[in-house]
Amino acid sequence: MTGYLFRRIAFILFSLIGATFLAFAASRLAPGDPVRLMAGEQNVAPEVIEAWQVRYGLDQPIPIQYLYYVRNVLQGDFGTSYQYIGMPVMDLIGPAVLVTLRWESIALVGAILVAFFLGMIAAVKHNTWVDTGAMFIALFGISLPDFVLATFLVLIFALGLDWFPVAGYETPAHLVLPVITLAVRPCALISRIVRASMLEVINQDYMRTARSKGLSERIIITKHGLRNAMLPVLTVVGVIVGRILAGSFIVETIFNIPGVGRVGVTAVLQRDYPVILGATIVLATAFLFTTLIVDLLYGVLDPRVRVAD
Amino acid sequence: MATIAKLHQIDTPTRPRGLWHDALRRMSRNRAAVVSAIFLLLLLLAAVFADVVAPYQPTAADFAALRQPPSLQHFMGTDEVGRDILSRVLYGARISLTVGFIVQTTATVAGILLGMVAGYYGGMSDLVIMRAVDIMYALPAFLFAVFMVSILTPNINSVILTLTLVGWPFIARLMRGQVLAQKQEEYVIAAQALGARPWRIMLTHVLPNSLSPIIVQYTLGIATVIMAEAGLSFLGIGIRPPTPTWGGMITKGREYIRTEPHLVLYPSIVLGLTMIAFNFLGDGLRDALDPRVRK
Repeated sequence: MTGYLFRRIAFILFSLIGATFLAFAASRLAPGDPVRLMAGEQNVAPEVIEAWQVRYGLDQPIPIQYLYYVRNVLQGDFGTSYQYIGMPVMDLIGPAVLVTLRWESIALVGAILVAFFLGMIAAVKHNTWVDTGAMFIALFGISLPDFVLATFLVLIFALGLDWFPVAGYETPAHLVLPVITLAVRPCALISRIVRASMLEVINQDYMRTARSKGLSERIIITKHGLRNAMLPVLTVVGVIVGRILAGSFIVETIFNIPGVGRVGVTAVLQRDYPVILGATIVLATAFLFTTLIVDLLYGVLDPRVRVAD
Repeated sequence: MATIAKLHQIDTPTRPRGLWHDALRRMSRNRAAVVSAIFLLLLLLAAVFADVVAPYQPTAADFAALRQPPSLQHFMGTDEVGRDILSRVLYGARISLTVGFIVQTTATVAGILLGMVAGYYGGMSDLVIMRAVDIMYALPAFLFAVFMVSILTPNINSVILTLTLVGWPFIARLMRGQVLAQKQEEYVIAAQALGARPWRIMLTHVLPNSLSPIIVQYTLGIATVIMAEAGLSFLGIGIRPPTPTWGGMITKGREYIRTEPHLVLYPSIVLGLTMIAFNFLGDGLRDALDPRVRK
């Protein structure tokens, strides 16, 4: 287990450094010199500009600049916004991250619960209309882009039936439509995997043994089947979290939720690179952190992973 | 000799059927996949011949007919500057499908080549390529796309470049797995023993045997690319107006969702149907090509 743990952490660290360096280098290659952008319309002497460049380390090669940046980020300093001069990026992103975590975790948990329910029913009722119907709907759910689904949901449930507000982030009712929008695709994806892995598990010897022991069907499915069917699902949860995080760009923009996705999109439209970079790094870190947790859980749930060392 | 000929006759009463023939037959029994294929074919034709099929110019504004509801003159109505929505949807299909095919084809070819190199040669090349894949996997794809496009100039070329960069690692990983599995197969070892060069083995033995999963991924990947392009246009950071894109039309149309929902409704429906069709087709292909579900 220790070897496995160590390898996974090393891998995550490598990916994190690679991804953040890629993002950092790309943002430095973007058009427009940061100091000139900060100076804006004011007429600033070239010597001053040069002094600023030295002060911000912009005269250094990109890998060195990256090291400076990492040092600052580790101290919670993501630099300052170009758009809101002098405003620390952290002040823009920090509160937004909390908003995103709050509402997206609801979507994630909801998606997983519903997916297990749907996938198990489909597997138990294999090759019946329940199975076909559930999987047909799941494929529909996978196909629809977030903003198309959101459009239909708003047209029907907000404007047509007037059950939920169109957009905003105030009451729990405001969260219903965005949570559904964000949850549908992950839910559809997971339910297909739950079904497939349940079908694989259902004919295993230990299931037959459990049945011959006279255990009730419900216990067999939930205790023996589900636990073993969970492993393949766990591997995709990491991917799903990545999609959910990236989905915050579109869904938060549509429903006007003040999360990190909306902050990111606004920054992109304003070409506010420090904010874009900060948002990217925060989201990538969150994603990799989830991957690590999934890896560790996998080691706990599946003894074979540990033995493989 | 006569006996052998006779035996041969008895053994092959019908012509042997190949994988593709088999797959096609299974596909034709999958109604959802067939309907999807027909829909996509029609969409493709409409996009290619948009100049002929579209009733109006996609950028021709008509200030006397702003936000008209659907009518016989305008089947899908008109938008906020009086442009015919049907015509814009058809020209939008051209953009979406062009981006989808170019990106997915380039990414697939690149992924196949890199995956082959990594899988066959192993060692240093494997290490470098797969670590690059890992880094790309470490960034959620759409997040990376948003980031890249925001740095490049917002036009169709940067969208294509960015989405190709995002797309290749998946295929590379798939191809590498295929190569690793098939390296142990007897036909590859036999080819090696006969002195065939690595690339010859890869292209004539390994690749044909890996085509099934790649075709499935290619089809599903087009849907992902089209969705990503529409997403970028939707956020206003992809291909810029007045070029008609589905994502851009949906963004603009959303401003009038309360009063004239048809502005957002029709592009959404067409985009949604396209996504569904590609996914059903990809799923159908998977079922048809997967030997495990064969009966």
